[in-house]
Amino acid sequence: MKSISNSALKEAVHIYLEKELEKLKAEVDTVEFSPEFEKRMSRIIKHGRRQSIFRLNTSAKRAVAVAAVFTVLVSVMLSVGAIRQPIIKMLTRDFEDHIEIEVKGDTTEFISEIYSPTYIPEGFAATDELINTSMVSRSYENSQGEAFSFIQISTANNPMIAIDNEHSRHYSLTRDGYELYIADFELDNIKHAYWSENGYIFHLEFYYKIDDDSVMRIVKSNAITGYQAWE
Amino acid sequence: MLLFYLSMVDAADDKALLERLYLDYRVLMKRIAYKILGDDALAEDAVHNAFLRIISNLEKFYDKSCQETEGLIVIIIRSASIDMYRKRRRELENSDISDISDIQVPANTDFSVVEAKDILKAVEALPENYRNALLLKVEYAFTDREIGAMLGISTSAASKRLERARKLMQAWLYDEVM
Repeated sequence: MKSISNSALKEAVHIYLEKELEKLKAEVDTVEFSPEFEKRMSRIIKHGRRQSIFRLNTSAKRAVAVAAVFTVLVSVMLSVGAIRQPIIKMLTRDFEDHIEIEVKGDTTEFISEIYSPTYIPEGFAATDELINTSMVSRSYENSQGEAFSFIQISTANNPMIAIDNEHSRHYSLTRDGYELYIADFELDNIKHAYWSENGYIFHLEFYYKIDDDSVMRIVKSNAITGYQAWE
Repeated sequence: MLLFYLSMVDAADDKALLERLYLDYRVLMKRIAYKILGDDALAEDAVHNAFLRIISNLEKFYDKSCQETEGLIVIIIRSASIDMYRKRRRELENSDISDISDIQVPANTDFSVVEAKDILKAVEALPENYRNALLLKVEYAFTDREIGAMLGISTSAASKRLERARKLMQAWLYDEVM
């Protein structure tokens, strides 16, 4: 059998790509981006490194078939007013090339209590923040070029987070009533920590080498610093 | 502050290139992703994932013409969107691979005489995943390993897609043209 000629194949492929690009350019429609997306992209462009993280849809509802590995958090009866905090379970599911974290339980309709870490490692200062009813994001940086972000995510509509597990070490860390799910991209000096609290998901992402004790100290300092009503 | 940010990346050029790619192509990327996924939030996630792939393969975007860059971007966002679609459906990586074991083309068939216009139709008839691999091989002269990195699949999966693309094209040409 004689194969397809290379020159004819090259010509055909080139024409195909040209046609495709022309077709795509001819389409005129309005494309808008959410503030959350802009924030995410700004972060990865700033750091410009392979992050090995991808977050799947945080708005669509999904059927959850769960192999529970990681549960938690605080079902505390508060002494003041004895208000029961919403209980959320974070559930992980292993796939060939990623791990999915989903939530189940007393999900929150929107972010009404705005959280923030009250302990910030020495030398770091807040650089920017985004606050809306589905996400709170704050970034911190120091003069050595080290940075980390704190993110609070509403659990309305069953958000799901997917994390690459081919380039990272994953483990849970339990201490003082907190249970963290940690993904450590050691080669890239990037560490992610997830936990749930009071019906929200929290995420810390560090763009420098940090030990677990230091991570836990920030997590434990997480507290309500403001309130907001539905937009 | 600018100097501070530049210190965060491996090379200042990388950051400038990444910024340019983002500003120039994000609208096109989201439009393509939305067509495949039909969901605004998912489309944004696909663009995000595609950019992570671009970061991992940033060296491939240097010294490319505008059209070459655009072509690469289109292939990557399509691939990222299809991956996301597949993951949502909980399918395995290889579940979309067609069974080509029953493709039979007579051994004495001479495909070397087939004209580009007919090959173009065969390219158009290919499943998206195979076509993406083929485009990267033929138009961009990527190795199988580079194709794997760009599409987020293993080198062997890239090689398989290329092999299947060629076989499917031959079968299509034999049926429709020869």
